[in-house]
Amino acid sequence: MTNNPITEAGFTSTLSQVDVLWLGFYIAAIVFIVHALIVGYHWFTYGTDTKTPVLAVTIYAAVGAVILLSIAGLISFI
Amino acid sequence: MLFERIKLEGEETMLRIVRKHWWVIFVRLFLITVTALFPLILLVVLPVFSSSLNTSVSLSEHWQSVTVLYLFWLLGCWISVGAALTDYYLDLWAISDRRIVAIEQNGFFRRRLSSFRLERLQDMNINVTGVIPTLLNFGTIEAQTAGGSNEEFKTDTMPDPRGLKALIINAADIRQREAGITNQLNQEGL
Repeated sequence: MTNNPITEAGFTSTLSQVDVLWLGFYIAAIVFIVHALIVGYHWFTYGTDTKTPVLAVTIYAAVGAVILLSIAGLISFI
Repeated sequence: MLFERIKLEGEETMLRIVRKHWWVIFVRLFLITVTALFPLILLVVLPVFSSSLNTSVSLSEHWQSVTVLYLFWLLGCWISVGAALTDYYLDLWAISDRRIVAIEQNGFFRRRLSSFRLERLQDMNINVTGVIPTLLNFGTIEAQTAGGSNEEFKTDTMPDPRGLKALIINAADIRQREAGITNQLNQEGL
C-alpha cells in the first residue's frame, strides 16, 4: 500500500495513512494504559480480597497488550 | 483493601459480602460482545447489499487497514469490559454481625458508602418484579432504620433477597438482644 497524502476538501495533509494509524495507536495506547491504571487502583484499593484483583488486572492488561501489539504489528506491515 | 477502609471493630465478624446478581454483569457483557461483533456482521452483510445494488465494495485490497480499525474497535470494547467489571465488583453490601455497609460505585470517580448499625434496623422490604427476576431470584432490597433515610439503603438486583433478608433480620435480632442485655446490665450497675 502506498503512503499517499490525505487530501480532503482542498486541504492537503502531509500525514500519510500509516502516520494517521500510528497516531491512533499512540492515542489508544495512552488511553488504555491510563484506564488500566485507574482500574487497577480501584480493584486494589476497594477490593474485598487480594487474589481477585491480581487476576482481573493481569487478564485486563494482558488482553489489552495483545490487542495493542497486534495493532502495532499490522501497522508496521502496511 | 476494603476492610481496612471501613475499619472493622474489635470483635466484629463479616457475615457475607453480597454483590449484585450475575444477570446484571451478564447483560452488560452480552451487549459489549454484540457491539464488538457488529463490524464483522457488517462485513458479511455489506457485500450482499452491494451486489444487489450493482456496486462493488472490495475490502480485500485494504484488509490490513480494515483489521487495524477493527482492532481499535475491539480495544474500545475491551476498555468497556474493564469499566463494567469494575462497576460490578465494587458495588456491594458488606454484612457484618454489627452493621451493614452499602457501597455504590457509579463509574470510576463517584462512590457512595453508607452504613447503619443492626440495632437501628426496624424493617426490611424486598421487591421482586418481572419474569427474569422471579426466575433467577433477584430483586430490590430496602432497609428501614430508626430515624434514618430509607433511600440510602435501597439496592436493586440483589441475589436471593429472601435469604438475605432472613440473614440480616437474624443478625439484627441477635445484635438487639445483646444490646438489650448490655443496657440492662448498665442500668443495674453490674
